[in-house]
Amino acid sequence: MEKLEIATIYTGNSCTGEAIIIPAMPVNPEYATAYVRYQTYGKTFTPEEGLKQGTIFPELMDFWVN
Amino acid sequence: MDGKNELLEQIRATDFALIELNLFLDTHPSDENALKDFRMLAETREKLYRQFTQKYGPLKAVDGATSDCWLWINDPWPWDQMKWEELKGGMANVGLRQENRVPDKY
Repeated sequence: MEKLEIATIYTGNSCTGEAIIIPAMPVNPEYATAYVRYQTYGKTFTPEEGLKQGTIFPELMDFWVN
Repeated sequence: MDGKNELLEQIRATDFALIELNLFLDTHPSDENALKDFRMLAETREKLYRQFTQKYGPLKAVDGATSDCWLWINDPWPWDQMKWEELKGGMANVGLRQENRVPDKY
């Protein structure tokens, strides 16, 4: 079985919220409903490279460019 | 590329990265690493912007508001400058009417 990808999020922002853990994708997806995988902050391009590539997030590159 | 265009390019890149982080933080308001990077870039952007406007004049009309004169009309606007740079490089640009746009100093 695939390992469940999780993300820690807060209800509200980091100053006011309470931490909860959610799956990056729904565990029981509905029919006829589209989902977007919850993105996790990692390494980013430099601003110069980002402007050239069209995104500062390397993980978004494959989808849009290749 | 002279210092002016280089600085403008840095401002462009920083602005773009800030918009990207802005969008990310809208859906991830609790992400402290993203927030840290946003703060850092905002500071860098502030410095670059001040450096540019002090040296080369306003990038937006409101930047010249503290002056007694209306500075906005003085120079070629940033985008005109870039278009003329492209023209000089031999690129056709039918949208630009050269006789109207190219200032004397060129």
